[in-house]
Amino acid sequence: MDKELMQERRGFLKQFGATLGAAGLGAAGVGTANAAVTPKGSIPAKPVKVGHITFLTGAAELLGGPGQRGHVLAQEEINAQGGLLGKRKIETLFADEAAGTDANVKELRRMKLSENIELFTGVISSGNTPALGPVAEELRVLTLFNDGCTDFLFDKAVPNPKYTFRVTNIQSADGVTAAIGAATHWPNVRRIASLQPDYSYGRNVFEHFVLALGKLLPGIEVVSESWPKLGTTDFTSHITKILSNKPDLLVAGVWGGDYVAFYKQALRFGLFDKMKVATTLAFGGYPHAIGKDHPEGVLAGVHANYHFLYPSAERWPINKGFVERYYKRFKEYPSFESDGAYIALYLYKQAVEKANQLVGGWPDDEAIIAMLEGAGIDSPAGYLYIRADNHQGYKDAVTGLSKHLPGYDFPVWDTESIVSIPIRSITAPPNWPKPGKGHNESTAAADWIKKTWPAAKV
Amino acid sequence: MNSARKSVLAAGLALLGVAHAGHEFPFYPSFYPQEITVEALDARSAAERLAKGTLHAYAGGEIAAPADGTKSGTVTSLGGYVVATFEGGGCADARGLKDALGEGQVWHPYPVTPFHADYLHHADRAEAARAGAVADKREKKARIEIVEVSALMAKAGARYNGWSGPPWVRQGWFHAYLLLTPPVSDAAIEETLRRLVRGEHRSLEERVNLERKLVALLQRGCERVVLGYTERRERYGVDYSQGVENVGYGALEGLASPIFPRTVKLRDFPWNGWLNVAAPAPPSSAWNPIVGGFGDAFGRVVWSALSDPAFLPAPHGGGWIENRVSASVEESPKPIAVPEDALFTAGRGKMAASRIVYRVRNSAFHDGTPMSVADLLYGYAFAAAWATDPGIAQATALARERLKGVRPLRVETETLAFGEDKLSYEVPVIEVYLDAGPGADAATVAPPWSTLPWHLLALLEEGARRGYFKLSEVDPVRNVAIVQRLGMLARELEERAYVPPALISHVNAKEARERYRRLREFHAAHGHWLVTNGPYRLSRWDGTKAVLGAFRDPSYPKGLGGFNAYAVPLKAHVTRIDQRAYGAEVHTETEWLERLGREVRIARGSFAQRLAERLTSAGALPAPVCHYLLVGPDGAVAAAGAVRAGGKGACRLEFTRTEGRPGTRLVVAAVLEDSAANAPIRIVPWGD
Repeated sequence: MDKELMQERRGFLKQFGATLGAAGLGAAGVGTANAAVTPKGSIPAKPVKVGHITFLTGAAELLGGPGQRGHVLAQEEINAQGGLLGKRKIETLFADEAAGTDANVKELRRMKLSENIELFTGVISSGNTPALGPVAEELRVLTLFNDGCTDFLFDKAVPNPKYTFRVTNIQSADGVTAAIGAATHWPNVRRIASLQPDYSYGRNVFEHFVLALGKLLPGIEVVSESWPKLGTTDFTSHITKILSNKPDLLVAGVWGGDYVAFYKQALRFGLFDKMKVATTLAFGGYPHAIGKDHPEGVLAGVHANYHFLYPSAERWPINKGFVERYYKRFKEYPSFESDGAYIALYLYKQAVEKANQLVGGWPDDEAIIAMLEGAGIDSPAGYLYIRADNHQGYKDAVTGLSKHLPGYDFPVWDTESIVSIPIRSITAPPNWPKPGKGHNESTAAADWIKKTWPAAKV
Repeated sequence: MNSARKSVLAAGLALLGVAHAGHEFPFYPSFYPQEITVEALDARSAAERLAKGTLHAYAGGEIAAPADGTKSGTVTSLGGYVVATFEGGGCADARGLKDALGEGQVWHPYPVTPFHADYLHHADRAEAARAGAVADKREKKARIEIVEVSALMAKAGARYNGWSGPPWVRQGWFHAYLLLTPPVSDAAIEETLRRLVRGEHRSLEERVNLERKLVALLQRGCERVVLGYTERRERYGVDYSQGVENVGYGALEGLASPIFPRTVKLRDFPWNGWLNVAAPAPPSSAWNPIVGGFGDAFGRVVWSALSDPAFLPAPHGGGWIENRVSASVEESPKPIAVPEDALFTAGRGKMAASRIVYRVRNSAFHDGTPMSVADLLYGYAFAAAWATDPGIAQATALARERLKGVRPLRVETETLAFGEDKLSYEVPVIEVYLDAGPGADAATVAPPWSTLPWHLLALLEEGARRGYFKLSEVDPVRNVAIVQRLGMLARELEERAYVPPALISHVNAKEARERYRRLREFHAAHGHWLVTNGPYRLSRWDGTKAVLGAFRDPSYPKGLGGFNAYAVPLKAHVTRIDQRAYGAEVHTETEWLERLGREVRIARGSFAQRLAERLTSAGALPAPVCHYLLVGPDGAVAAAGAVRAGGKGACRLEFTRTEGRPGTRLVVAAVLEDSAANAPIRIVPWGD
């Protein structure tokens, strides 16, 4: 990296608060996930039934599997302490999100109407949360989505949520985080190539990445766009197209097995030696799912949410403890979905405990919701804040460069390269107009970036 | 950014998205590896390649255990029968031949083996036969041979165009019949067989007694005696970066089974990747897709990935898994009237014993042409028209005998949606009338299905009419002369816009011309004519290697991970049997898979505990099912059944008191997810 340029660029990036390396945390916590409370009033012993829909089969099990494990770990820990308020054990009904949106909606109805769940959690697909959110509102079932991160959920589908919350960062943060990561590490890139899956996720990544990078680095030019269709296995034509346009940087939103097939084919063409590569989801699944031949120095995205090496064990013991317990239970490391599902259940626990302290006995949903709105919790990923106006969770966005470190037989993040971005710097503030309300951008975040981010000077 | 990129990916299929609801699309058509290469390797070369990690699996052959046992795994399936043919002597001599068995041969002097899903029905008799071994040093005149189970199943009936063959083709009693049928027809044997295949029994007990009777009748001659069986041990690589996992196989077929390409996953890829498979010898059997081709291990591996049957054989069970069709069987004690407008039936007033309504999952063929009802109907028309070909006649005999009518009802659309990203499938609904049916397996007899497009069948039959080849022998890939001749013929059919007479009312000239054009383009791209609608496409055959590419077309309705439940045959175990007033209470434990990081292991424990954890189950956790027989002192089965375990993992078997006479024995096995093959069996005395 050009050190002089890097420092100059950091000056510009400073206004976004992005930090590099281990400097991301230092403040005291807002609470503790495992703090014990003495319940007030009479608490029934009846178990709390929780519904959890996530991908248990198919390609997206790569995301849903770790999420399910995060949920299970939280459930086991809470139950080992006697359950919620020391009395009510958690019982979870799992269902497979791979059945599709219509089936998921039916299953949520069944869970509520037949099984009488008190809490609904999970959901990975952004196609599903906009369908399930309104149903959760209609059924009045308290819902903590741990992903399904489309901006559309609270921008449009459930603009005034009461029962619906979400803990992971919104999707627009994915592309924006990759842009800030790229600008931080490679401030001299100008010629940009893009490789995105040819459906809505890829379009969202591309739009927000280019928008943000255009503000961060003056004079960027998109020299190549590749949109492999669903099911593409041979990336040769895309790779040769990218190479022929001689970009400085490739941004890739292809994920899972598609990303693995791509990088292995790209290695044969020496692509990683010829340009920088930024991804949004390379490290998004099971951490051990990426092979030993993965190149170092790739900006390896985690959906802008969490990687088990950050915050570091010394500086954030909550993460250290989580990773250790998770590894002990499952003999693997957690992903961002693990963190999301884990903290969703603890967020519920915290809200129940606070409501109990206020009203005594088992609190009703109104009281729990009141405690969730504006709640803060110390999560393995750092501070998580639930905004009261839109029920969206916000935590600092992160990304980092891939590296092979001793102790791991799969690539992880170079801890010196981790870029942590205060989430307020990359998401639209409360009450920013939503799409269709004075602007027609695809997301409130896009409109806010366009209108408020200063453009870097040439 | 490209504005409003909306992609129409195939006819009738749309994957539409707008930026507001996007996320990773979670459904991937076809199965894990993006490419499968099949080649022939001798055992030594295969062992070297496996050790290097450049070969992932060796199908159909055995190789020595590697020095580093941690880098390979083994699947074990039934290899063949050890059969003795005597000149005089017979049964008595056979009991003394235990020591004559060679290395790797298992003493099991009974023609139904633990690898058969119906072994429970014979377990007491097989145990008695094993116990009857005697030390006998006398020299005996016997010819001992190994009858490969793959050859036996091929003899049982060649598969026609994605159909399943006789529903009982994987049953142990049927294999016994194929092995031991006397050269001179035996009326008792044939009558018992007839009752079994016609389903002429009123209860499970009666059916099991018929099966036992058939095997007993077959064994009474003693000229030809089963001494035991061999196991087929096939190796695969498990090294993390270069190996595979999720290796499905069949109890009878081993790795050369349809479940293998539908489950196997490269360890270094969540999906995709390049899988290398080898067989011990180059292909020798014709790659005939219509009937009876792909007979050797090489061919079976290739065809199991290229073709898509209507039903897949349950890899460790006796039944069939719905693959491209789902079926609803209506059986009636009274004859069912066949509608007058039904196809493939003649005359008014026809009656049938059963009506089956199929929902068919259409897709594109590998040449890009979309499946239609015409393709499904032509499977029947072709079978009827070419019954003059002995191979086709034999393979379709049962279907032609029982089929009483076919009627397309309507075409529906099914959609798999994740928000606004959608895949839509065309689903023809077709009813089929049969004159008899062996219970639930009736649906497999004559399904509305063809893994080959009608235009390929039309091309091949035109070649046969002109005397270029016999349909049951044609190889449209490896026979260079035929491949060339088919090229000229395809051009001619395209120019003529040829539509087979049976499809005149379903296909117009424009559609026909387009079909032949696409077929010729496929040939130009791949050098052969083997177009199917299966999960893998034959990308190329270079004379030594077959390269199969995943058909990730959005129209293909099965997705990766869809058959994971069949990848590892999990067992249940009977831990205790208690006598109760109502009969027996059978306690079980169950196995499950634990995926912990990079390791996968089978764990075993209480079903109740598992139910409480519900960690890996979507919806209901599969409960053990207790299959049982109560065998009277006379050897007759007095009671038989299957009972699902309750929440505590115990099965409640209810018998009447008269079924517990002295000398009675209870034979019971707990079975998980239809994996009856090699299920642990308990045999205990029962009654007063």
